[in-house]
Amino acid sequence: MNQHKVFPDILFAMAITAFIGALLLGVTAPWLLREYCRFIGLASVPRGLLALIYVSYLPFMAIWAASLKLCMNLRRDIPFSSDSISKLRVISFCAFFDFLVYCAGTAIYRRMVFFVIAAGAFMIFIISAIIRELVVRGIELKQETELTI
Amino acid sequence: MAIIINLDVMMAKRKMGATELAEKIGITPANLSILKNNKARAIRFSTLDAICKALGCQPADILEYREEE
Repeated sequence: MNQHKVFPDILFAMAITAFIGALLLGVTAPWLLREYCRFIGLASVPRGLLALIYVSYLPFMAIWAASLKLCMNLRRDIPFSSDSISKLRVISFCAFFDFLVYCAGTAIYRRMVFFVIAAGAFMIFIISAIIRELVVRGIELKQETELTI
Repeated sequence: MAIIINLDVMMAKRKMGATELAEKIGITPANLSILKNNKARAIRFSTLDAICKALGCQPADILEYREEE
């Protein structure tokens, strides 16, 4: 029972930390990208690469924000709510968008390791879509139980 | 739903109020209201048993099947 209450708190703390980390990544992206390109032996950052990173960054932050809201729902003991479904929908949509962006990125910038990120985004899309379906079934069961007198 | 709960009719016949019935069958007035207004998805046998005991009636006096249009 105690673990039931502690785990959402730990998840929330991790999500907050990751969210702040992602914000910092967004701010320092131009510098990090330049350093990374130098690390892999490129003289300069390929044209349009930073734009591609920022196009995928917005959905990435939306995923983190939705994850934070999901953790808050868990902490407030309302995991089976319509809000959770909408947040999971946001996560799956944004992950699918990122998957498409990085697929395009793999085709354009062949030397980069975008394929791994694209696969990761696709996994998030599938997993969050499955969880969303589970939550929908959970809500139906909850309503069924609540309306059994 | 095609199953209708005619609790109001039996309560009027027995001259019993909602609060009194809820107390006798051991459910909250809010849940009794859900039953009365046909908002319930299911009813437990134990609840049906308690209602029949409290109102001195048969399940058929409370439950009715009405074909949906």
